[in-house]
Amino acid sequence: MNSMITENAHRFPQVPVIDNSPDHIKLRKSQNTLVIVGTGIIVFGFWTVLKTLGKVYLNRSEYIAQIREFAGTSMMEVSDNLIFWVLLFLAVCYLSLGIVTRLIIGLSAISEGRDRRHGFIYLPLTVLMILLGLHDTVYSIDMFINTVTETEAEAGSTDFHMASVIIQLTSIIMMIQMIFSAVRVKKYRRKKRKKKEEN
Amino acid sequence: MQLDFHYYATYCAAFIAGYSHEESVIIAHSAQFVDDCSRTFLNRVGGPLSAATTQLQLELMDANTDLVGLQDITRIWASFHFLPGDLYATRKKCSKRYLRKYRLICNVNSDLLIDTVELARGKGLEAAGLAMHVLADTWAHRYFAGTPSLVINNTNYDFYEIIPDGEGFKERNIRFNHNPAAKDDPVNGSYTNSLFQSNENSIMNLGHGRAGHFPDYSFARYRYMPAWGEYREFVKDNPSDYKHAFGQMVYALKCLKTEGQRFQTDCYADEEVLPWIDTIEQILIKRQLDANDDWKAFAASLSGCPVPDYSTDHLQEEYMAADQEYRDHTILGRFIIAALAQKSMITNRIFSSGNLLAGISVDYNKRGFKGIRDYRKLMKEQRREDE
Repeated sequence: MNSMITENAHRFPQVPVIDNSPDHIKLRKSQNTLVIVGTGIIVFGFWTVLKTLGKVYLNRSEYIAQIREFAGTSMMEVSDNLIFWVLLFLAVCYLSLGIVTRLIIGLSAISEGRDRRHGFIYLPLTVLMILLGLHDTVYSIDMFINTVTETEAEAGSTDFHMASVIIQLTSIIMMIQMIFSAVRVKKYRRKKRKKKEEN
Repeated sequence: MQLDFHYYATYCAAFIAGYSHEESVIIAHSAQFVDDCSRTFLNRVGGPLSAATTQLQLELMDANTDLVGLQDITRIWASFHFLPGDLYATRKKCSKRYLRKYRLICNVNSDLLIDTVELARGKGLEAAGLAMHVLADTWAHRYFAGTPSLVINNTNYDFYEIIPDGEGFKERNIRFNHNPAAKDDPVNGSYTNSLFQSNENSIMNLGHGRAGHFPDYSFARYRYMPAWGEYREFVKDNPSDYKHAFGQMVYALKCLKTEGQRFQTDCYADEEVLPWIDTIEQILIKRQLDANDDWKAFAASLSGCPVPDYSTDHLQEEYMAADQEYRDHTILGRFIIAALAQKSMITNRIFSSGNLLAGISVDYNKRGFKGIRDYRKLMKEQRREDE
């Protein structure tokens, strides 16, 4: 009676053996990072939408005045409302491009993380987003410094620029992490393929 | 585990271990009753609330998750449903707070299982039934902890069911949904689980809630990445585990029947079970949400007597009809004492290991405290045994 279940008694088929080697664990960790960061990149797109639309709506009189100044007398017959809607339309076009790019990057990262599709186009797109993000961050830091040094700065504008800087930096760090994880995943997959071919 | 295993399978195990039909029914009732003995039930019958061995969904919804509330929840779930595998487990580079929870992860063949089975020795059939519930649950609930913890009990999208396919297996990603009204669908691989809550101590993160009811199905084979696993994957083979649970229950019950034979871990009564192994395997691998009918038919074929349907009415009636001084001698009374003893023992072991997640444990016998009213019953019983 005092014995392990014997081989004869164990008639269930043996379930697949799991590979928990250090390489495989690193692969899973990188894949998990891709899924989380990919989701984050899509979600951060909402911040960009909020920021841009908010800026356009809240500063519309300023923008309209600047457009009228730039255009001179040729825009005298055009109403403020029309200029605002055109401005909004251009902003939406710009945002759509940004959102589509983020969706491509985010969904591709998630797909790669879940071992479905293994694309590579999202990596150069991510590099592009990082460069644009850095440019945006530098601009936001510049605006922040300007508002801090100005004696008559608008209430809340310092906070807005500070928040922008923090969110931009977070977004850039996420994208860099995504690139590292994606490279690691591709490297391990290549290694696994080589091992299979050798065997 | 569910009623099919806790009640009918325990009856079968008890009968194979040499208990009579009537004794096996009492053991089986006690084993299943661990899943029904809530504070609501005890309040209704006038029993001690500290003897609760489970918490209903509504009770959990009302439960506090402050320190005292968490300790109360952990005491119940770790003592009866998620017996810790190793209270002195070590782990590199983690905080004390994390380590305390890590040490509560349920696993099979632990030292606490020996203590649980031996605690039931000489304490009657009700105590034996309670010990069998705890034993069986260690197999179904391994890798989950009986304390609300996201970092231990969480699961993610990496959850695949392993389904037999001809000679081999195929894998299917499980789709968990949060509709408690919808039945689990093994055909399409759609199961209910608890809602994701990022709060570490949310009730949703208690036990195997994040995997829903899936770990309790005997046909389930799955691979997943538990939150504590550091990106390691684990395979759960329930048909094999449940078979081990059955064999171990037969062995444990035989030990309790035999004087001087101490229960040991990793021992299974495979010779005793062998004549019925085919039937048991067929029941375990059948893809059905509950196997009550199959186990009931097997039980009837074993003993030749029909096994009564599970009910707590007779327990309630007997307990409430008895005078106060004789209540401890009813079936429910003896179960209550066994539950108090088990909870006391496990809480004491957890506390002695330096873990405060189950609260502080005081050895009332040594320190001479009167203690809380509920536990006086336990001390009275222990004094009676000593005399």
